[in-house]
Amino acid sequence: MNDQSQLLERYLAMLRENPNAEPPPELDTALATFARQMIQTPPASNALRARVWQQALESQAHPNGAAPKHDYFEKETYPMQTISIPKRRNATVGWSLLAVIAAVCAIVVWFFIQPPKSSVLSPANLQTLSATETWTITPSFTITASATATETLTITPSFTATLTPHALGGPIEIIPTYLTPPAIDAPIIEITPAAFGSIEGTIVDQLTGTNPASLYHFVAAGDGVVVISLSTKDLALVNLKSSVVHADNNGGSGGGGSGGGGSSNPLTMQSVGTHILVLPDDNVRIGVLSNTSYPGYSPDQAIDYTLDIRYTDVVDLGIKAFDGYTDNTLNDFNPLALYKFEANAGDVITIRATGVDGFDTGLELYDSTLNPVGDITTGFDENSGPGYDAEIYHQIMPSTGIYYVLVRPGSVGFGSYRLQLTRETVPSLNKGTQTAQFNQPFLPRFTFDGKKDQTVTVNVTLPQDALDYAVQNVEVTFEQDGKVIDIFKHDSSLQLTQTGVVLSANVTLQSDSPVFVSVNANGKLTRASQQQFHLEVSVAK
Amino acid sequence: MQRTPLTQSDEIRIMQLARHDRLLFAPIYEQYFDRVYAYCLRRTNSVQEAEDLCSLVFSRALGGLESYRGGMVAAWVFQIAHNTVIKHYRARRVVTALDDIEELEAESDLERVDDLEQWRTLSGLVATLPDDQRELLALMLDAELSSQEVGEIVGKSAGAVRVQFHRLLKQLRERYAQISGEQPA
Repeated sequence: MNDQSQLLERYLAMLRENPNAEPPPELDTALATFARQMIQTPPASNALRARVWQQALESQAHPNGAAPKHDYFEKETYPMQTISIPKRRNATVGWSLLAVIAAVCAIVVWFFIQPPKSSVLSPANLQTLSATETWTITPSFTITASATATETLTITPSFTATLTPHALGGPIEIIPTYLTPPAIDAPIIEITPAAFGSIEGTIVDQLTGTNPASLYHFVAAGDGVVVISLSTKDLALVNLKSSVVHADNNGGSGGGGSGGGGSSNPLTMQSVGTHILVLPDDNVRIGVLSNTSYPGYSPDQAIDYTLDIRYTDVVDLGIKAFDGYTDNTLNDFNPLALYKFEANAGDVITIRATGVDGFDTGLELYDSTLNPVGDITTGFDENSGPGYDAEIYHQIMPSTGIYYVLVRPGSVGFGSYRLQLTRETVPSLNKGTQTAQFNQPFLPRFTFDGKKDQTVTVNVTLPQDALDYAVQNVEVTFEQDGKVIDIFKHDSSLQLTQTGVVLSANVTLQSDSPVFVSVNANGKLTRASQQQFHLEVSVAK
Repeated sequence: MQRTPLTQSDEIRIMQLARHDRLLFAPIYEQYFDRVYAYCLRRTNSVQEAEDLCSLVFSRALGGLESYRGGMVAAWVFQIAHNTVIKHYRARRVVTALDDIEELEAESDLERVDDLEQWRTLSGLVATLPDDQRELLALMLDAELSSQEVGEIVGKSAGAVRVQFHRLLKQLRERYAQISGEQPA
């Protein structure tokens, strides 16, 4: 089974490369043919493609309330692959357009000079290049062989290495050596309560050609969220980076946008107004670096900036976390709020942040080490967007311990909200047989205490009413320590004429920890009202 | 002209830049539009709903660029798609076989499907599957994710995803053979 499933996945990958690819000889031929049939989907038209993009753009609230300044599709003809560069209006060089094109050129060249895994900046990553041709690029990053250039940077080459031309065959732009990334070589400025009063405050500083980077370091005094805001006259001139190493030195990355972590402690790129979650004694580093790859950068020009650091304590929801609600307000001074609560492995948690007066909320859920939990690995809440309140729905908690929930704006602006957590405990099979109603929005789920190497039998009884609803197969999934340890599927044994069926699944446990059993059943269900039946689950050790 | 896929480092860099100017997200949109649309179409079986959902997915992607923390952009995009579809189905759980074929013809390049009738039969068959199985099919077949990536989205191990997908496809193949009068292999 495993071999066939692996072969099937490999064949799917081959089909994406070449729709006429021959299946691996060991793969079931009929299944391979069927997979090829299944993979075919009518592709969308270009009109639909353009419409969706337009709708997506229009849904975005522009920071100053105006509509987006231009439309990606505005001047284009379909198909999109033949996008042409907008023509210049007159012979005078438009400096803003020049800046945009030069920035894009520099960035594309940057792709080629980046060595693999070059997230850690070091002198070893410094490169110089040479080239003799000219790239032609649209402002939207689409590179076409037929496009014509409107602006070209002309710089006297003084290079030592050679750049391989782009695979598309386009000419290559020349960039000067000073556009290559610098090593971060700056003294670390310690932010201590003794020096600054607290870790909170505003730092006014300056980057220059001789001091192109500033590094700040502080140790978190307690758990909470640190909001870092950078302001300067032109944000494109400055890069903001941060990293956090947890005090327990588990190597995990910091949550809430901190990224990185681990012993190497690399600074990773952050957006302006970023935030990081911290635990007591966490080491936090913040880097402010001149963006030397920006065409408007000049080593002769100093860049004044203000770095604002705000710290917010975590709110412990305590033992009443699931009884009631918490009202709070986000504003310029408290742009985020972090809450702490305890949950047990297997608890099914729903978290909702309801905005007041149209405030659009966002939620993120983290475990005790500040790593994202479950489905929201990206920190994106499923209900984000205008008209919705953020909700993390029926999240099954993977382990017993402390969790953090971050409330943030879902889009632009601040406001008040109500945070409410609800918990549904998982029925325990330790106490005997449990009955569940099937085909709720979530699968029936049960738990029992497990011991390593113990073999247990789980019986699933489908009474007559389940068979009346034409249940055809039942799948029993066992999980332990957050991982699926076995799946049993019964399909051929179910006969619609039987008056009741008992299905047994045997499993050998892998550790001394709770076991979670979920039961899924499928049938010829045609109406929502028919999607209800009961099943009974028991465990024998 | 064949679109040249972005490399992973291209994608990551574009994601960083797009935080400052959302229009720079366009290459990512280009890269993933077809897959997201196919995913939505498989999940909804409705051209109109697929378009609406697709639009919602990219709206949320554009609005949530700050939530991208590095790593595979595909996983990030389809995490959003997955969550969007779940939300959609929480409000509306009825799925029917594709019936708006005229809309499909208007909105799709049907010449790229070898056998349209067969495709309709298969989509009807898929429509009878429970949510989680349709989700698995959509993520594996249309989103073009690996079992590892799908596992991260649905909270299962890669092995479990692979085995479930194989079983599901085999089962579907047998049902399709029954419908079409073929003998299952």
